[in-house]
Amino acid sequence: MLPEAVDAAGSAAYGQTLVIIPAYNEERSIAAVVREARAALVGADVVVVDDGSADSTAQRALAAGAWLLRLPCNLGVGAALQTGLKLAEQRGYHYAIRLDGDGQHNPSDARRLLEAVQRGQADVARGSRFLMGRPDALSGAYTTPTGRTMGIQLLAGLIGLLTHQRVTDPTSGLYCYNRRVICYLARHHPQDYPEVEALIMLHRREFRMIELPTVMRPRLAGNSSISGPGSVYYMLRVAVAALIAAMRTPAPLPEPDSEKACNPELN
Amino acid sequence: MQPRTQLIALGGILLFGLIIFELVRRRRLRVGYSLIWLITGLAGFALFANQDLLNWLGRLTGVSRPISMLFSVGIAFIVFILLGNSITLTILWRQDKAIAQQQALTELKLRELESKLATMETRPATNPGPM
Repeated sequence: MLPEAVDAAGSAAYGQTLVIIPAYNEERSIAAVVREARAALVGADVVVVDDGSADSTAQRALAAGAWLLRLPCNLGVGAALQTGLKLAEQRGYHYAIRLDGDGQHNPSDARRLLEAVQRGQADVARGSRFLMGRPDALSGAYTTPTGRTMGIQLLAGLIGLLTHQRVTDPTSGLYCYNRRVICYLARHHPQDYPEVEALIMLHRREFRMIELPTVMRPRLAGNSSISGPGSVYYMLRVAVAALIAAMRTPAPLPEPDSEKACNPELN
Repeated sequence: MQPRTQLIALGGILLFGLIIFELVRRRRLRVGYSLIWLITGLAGFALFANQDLLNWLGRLTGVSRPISMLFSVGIAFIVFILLGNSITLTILWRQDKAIAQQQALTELKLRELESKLATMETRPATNPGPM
């Protein structure tokens, strides 16, 4: 389908979609991210979850036309995402997309993820920056630092061992969920650095996942929260969380009653 | 252990028990949490007051000096109480998170209702209906 055709049918195509953007002190980029998401996904609703920012993230998100969920204190990205998913569950959205507030994700990539989930290709479509090959310097794409790439490869190897699935970018923060996943993770969402653990949880509950290539752009502003000695701690923490998630009994799926409420096709 | 040491220890434990009791009475400490401290105090009292019990425990575990036995038991208690506190913190964090999330969702709803109300209040002025 041509992009124009998609835009013309925009509200029909994306009307049941909630775009969730967790943000913590992203006042310099959040407005641009919101505007871009609204332009790329016409008809979708955009909610910014302000995770207790001390700056004007909340005001700028509202001014850019997003809904705002403001957490009274900083709870971490896992809790922020869960808040967005709770909203998606309460209001009956069929699809939820996550974008980062720093502008590294391209909302048109999100559109391809959404279309894959809408086609029923998978319950979860995740963006991977490693499926395109390394971007060259001229393309303007973000080049993941070598150390970080190595760390991510290590985690990818661990996930591969635990799930017997090929996952190239386990820490990706660009993904799309369908309603069943929304309902599951709105109830049980991992904390702190939640992407990897969520992957394992979803795998163990037999949700179908695919990875699609995406391009990471340089940040619009700010620095990564993960750098220096902290990155070793990050790796360790994520690896332990992944191992525990793989060993414990996975959180139960919603009861059949609410499962019915959670599955719009059954109503 | 010298009787003098024993007396000081028992006095200390009694004082500790009184402090716990007083904290509960003034509602500074919940009864549920005070129990673990009272049990700790009672165990300490029993071990200090009854030398035979201490010696018996020492023989059982192969610890030759009674005082080392006391320290070990004390440290074990403290570790378990700390672990209990970590568990409590985890529960509190989960509840705290749920409340904060609920608050954010309610606030969004409130903002929507307020703007809906605002449009309803301005509409009759610009477009008066039959009244």
